[in-house]
Amino acid sequence: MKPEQYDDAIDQLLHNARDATPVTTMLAARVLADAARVQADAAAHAQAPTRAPRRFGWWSEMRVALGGWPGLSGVTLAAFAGLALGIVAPDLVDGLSGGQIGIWTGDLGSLPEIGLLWEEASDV
Amino acid sequence: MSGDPPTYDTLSDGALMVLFANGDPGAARVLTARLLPRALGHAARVLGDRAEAEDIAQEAMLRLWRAAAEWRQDGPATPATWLYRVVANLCTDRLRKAGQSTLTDEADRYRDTRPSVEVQMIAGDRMAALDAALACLPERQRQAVVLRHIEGLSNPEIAMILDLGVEAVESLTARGKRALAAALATKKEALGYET
Repeated sequence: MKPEQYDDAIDQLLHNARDATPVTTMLAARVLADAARVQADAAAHAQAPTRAPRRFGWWSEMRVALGGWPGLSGVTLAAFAGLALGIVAPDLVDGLSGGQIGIWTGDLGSLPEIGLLWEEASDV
Repeated sequence: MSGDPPTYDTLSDGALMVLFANGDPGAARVLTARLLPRALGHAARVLGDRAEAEDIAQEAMLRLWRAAAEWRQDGPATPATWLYRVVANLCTDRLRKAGQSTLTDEADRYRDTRPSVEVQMIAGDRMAALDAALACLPERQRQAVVLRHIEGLSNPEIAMILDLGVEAVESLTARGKRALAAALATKKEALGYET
């Protein structure tokens, strides 16, 4: 074989090598499965709702200051218990306070009487 | 939905990448048919191992799918050259891990044919002999020869893939082909080239 013929034979061998590795259906299936998974992930990512940033108002800040929901529940429970006790058994509350609450409410009053205000106004 | 389905055959690989990113499964099929054989062939010739070449080709295609969302049709690379580059890098990594690290360009001489080459040539398998001869080349030279003489790419394309200058690619491919021919020359008769 002449040198140029040998060179041609090498060229032909290299050319033939291009198609010497056929793709199996198994490999193609694996690659297409990857493609489908990437597309599905991209679609899911695109459809995911964007969550609005949370707003922390005065109510949230107060709740945190009171110790969160457990603290807030305790405060609420105490308030209702005190109110119920005051309605159901006011004497008991008066007794427990040593008569102090009665003094305030009886002698001083928590609010001035309306009539007194008119009298004061007419005096001026 | 309106209009006919896209005629994929007339679309460029770049346009198919955009369709893929928009969720078109047909684009994936056409890109796979066009590009997977090239990725597999490249990896198989460089690695000389079919199973490893399949792993490399699948990984390279997966990276291509993931790159679709950011793909720019007006960018410097086509999907094919981009894929070749990924395959080249994955092959280099695989060879280095396997201890078949590259030789320097100064060591740009083909090595003595290995015993496995003898065995393969006795069997008369030209393609196996070619793989064995390719395996004797330094890795960089092997990549250039495969891309130029088997995959049929141009020197500028190979320069982009291997991140080299065009002149360096010309030198690599020329020396590589001479070394390949020399490696096979001693076995002309076994290959059926001696008449």
